Amino acid sequence: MTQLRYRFIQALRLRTNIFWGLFFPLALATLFRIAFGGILSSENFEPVKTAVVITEENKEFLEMIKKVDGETLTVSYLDRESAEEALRSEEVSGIFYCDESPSLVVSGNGMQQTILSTVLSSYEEYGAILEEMAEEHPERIEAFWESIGNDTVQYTRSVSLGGKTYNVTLEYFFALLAMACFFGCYTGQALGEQSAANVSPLAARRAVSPRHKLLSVLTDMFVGFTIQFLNVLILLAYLDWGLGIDLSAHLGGMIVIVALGSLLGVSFGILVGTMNVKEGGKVLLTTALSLVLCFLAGLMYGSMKQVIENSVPILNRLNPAAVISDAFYYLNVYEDKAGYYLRLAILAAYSFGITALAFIMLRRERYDSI
Amino acid sequence: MTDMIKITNLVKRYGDVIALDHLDLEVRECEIFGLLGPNGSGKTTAINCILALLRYDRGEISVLGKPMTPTSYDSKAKIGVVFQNVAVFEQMSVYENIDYFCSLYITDRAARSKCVQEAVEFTGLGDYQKKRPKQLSGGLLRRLNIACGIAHKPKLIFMDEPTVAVDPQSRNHILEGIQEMNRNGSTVVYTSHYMEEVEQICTRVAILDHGRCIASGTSEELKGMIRTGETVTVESIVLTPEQLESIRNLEQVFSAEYSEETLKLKYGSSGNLIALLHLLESEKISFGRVFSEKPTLNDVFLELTGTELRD
Repeated sequence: MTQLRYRFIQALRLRTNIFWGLFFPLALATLFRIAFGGILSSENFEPVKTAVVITEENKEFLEMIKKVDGETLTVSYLDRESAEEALRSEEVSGIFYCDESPSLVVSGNGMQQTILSTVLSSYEEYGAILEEMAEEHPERIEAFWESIGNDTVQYTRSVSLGGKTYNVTLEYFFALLAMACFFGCYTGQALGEQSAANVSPLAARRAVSPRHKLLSVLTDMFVGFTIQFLNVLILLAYLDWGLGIDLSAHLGGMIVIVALGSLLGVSFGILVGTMNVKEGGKVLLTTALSLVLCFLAGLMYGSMKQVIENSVPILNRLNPAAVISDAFYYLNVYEDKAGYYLRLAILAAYSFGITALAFIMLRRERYDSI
Repeated sequence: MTDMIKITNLVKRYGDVIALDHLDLEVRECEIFGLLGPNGSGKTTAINCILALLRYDRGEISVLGKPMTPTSYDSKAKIGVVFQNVAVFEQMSVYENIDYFCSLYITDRAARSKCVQEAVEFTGLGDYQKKRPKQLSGGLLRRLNIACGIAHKPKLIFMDEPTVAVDPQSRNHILEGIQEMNRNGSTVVYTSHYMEEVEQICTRVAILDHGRCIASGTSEELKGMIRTGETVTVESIVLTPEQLESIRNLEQVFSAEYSEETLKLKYGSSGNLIALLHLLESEKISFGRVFSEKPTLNDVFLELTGTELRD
């Protein structure tokens, strides 16, 4: 118990790690909340008033606009002059010019304009497929829209199978939770360094003691995991109760995800910590990798995962941050148990695989050089 | 006396570099055994091999009468180590650090508390118990490093250059402490490249060079291994070649170096100063300061290896 107590004391007093593991995600969550403002509240969501000016017939584009009319957008079909007048008087937030290559004119910056831009991007992503389909199998276009409905047009304001409404900004918060799990790597790194005798004299001093190595390793892993798990639980509670993002419907499932995610983050950190490279190099590695993985999971650009899903979908299965974020999404938005369990299985494989590797590295008893 | 440590034919290579070259050593119970050698001579590598931290290529190591392996927990419980680099937790106070490392050896809280308190007093850290390592001076930090290594009262203590970068006051405190631990029954293995320290506290000494033990024994025994019995230096002296030749012919002189008006004579035995002064007087040779030195371990190292110990 003394060992456990001191390892907790020591790890909790590492202010930098606690900052990155707890306070930074809390601060970022607050910033997200402020930035996204009222759109987080689905009850307050108002479809974006939009004008469409048809200068040339584009069936696919108009079909897509029809699909989102009433749900995401409130569309008025106007002539050019009326549309521009409506934009000037702020009756509409933007104008879609429908021709062979549809374009968008908006009146300023803001979430409504972003949603309009996202709608156009969605069309552009699928434009080539739709054109080809229109030529060869026009009868399949309807089915196509049905199949990708949730993923493209409606991902600006997704409606879950369970009937609960969420919006795109949730992706940011899910990616943030993934990042928080990953930032356990800083605590893990410190613990790893203090356990590998070829890395630090402190670890060498511990290694020459009569305390069983297995016990030391398990103690360190338990301490690292517990601290990070609690950090992410605090973040989860803050998101739900503090920021009003309703995540309580699937709390048990959420906790399982953050438990595995925290284990993954801490184990990855331990693994890096046991590497015999310069301190700066390790911090660079953990920070760079965490941020790149979280960027790809949508931390800086909410639709990133969607872009990857459309181009290199395997990356979303391989990127553990995307897997964590996906698991949240499948649990809370799609309420798709099979998808959730699949991502949980991938996450578990990652977590236990890296934990096993970290364990093997920590269990090393003799070194080639110190 | 029984051997606390016995090393036979130990070989450790780092790629093409041989760090320990068929090293043989014995450390006896209740002695302060000095491992003396320049930087890179293999002192720390030898200790890391003894402690089963390093893999080695060949040889046998037994500690406290048993082969030493990473899982020799019984033996490890009787060993204390003070590493060359300070190894303490920055986030914990002086007391917490000592208590933590002591708890790796002693689980009983009351017994441990007593040991920690004694270690605090022993190292003179009583006024700094609540301070964090960052708030301590270099000397105090070294003392904390020592306290963490010896609080559990080990039978065998390894001290790897514990006085590096330490002020003279702390150095004396540390050296006196080591002698006291030895008087209390601990065997100490002490590595240093400061020959004065080793001469001051060590019962026996092994001189390492390029991973080999080139000599071992007491300081006197080591000095007896070399030809030099006394070195006499005469400063501000001007000599003709004939006068230098007559000095060279003095009894016991086996080396006479003369440059920049300084004469350095090496004798095979001690007590030769008077004969030299008689000769200088009879030849009416004027001179400045004259002093005689007994051989040091540096002379031993110089004669055995051809290089200075501090090189």
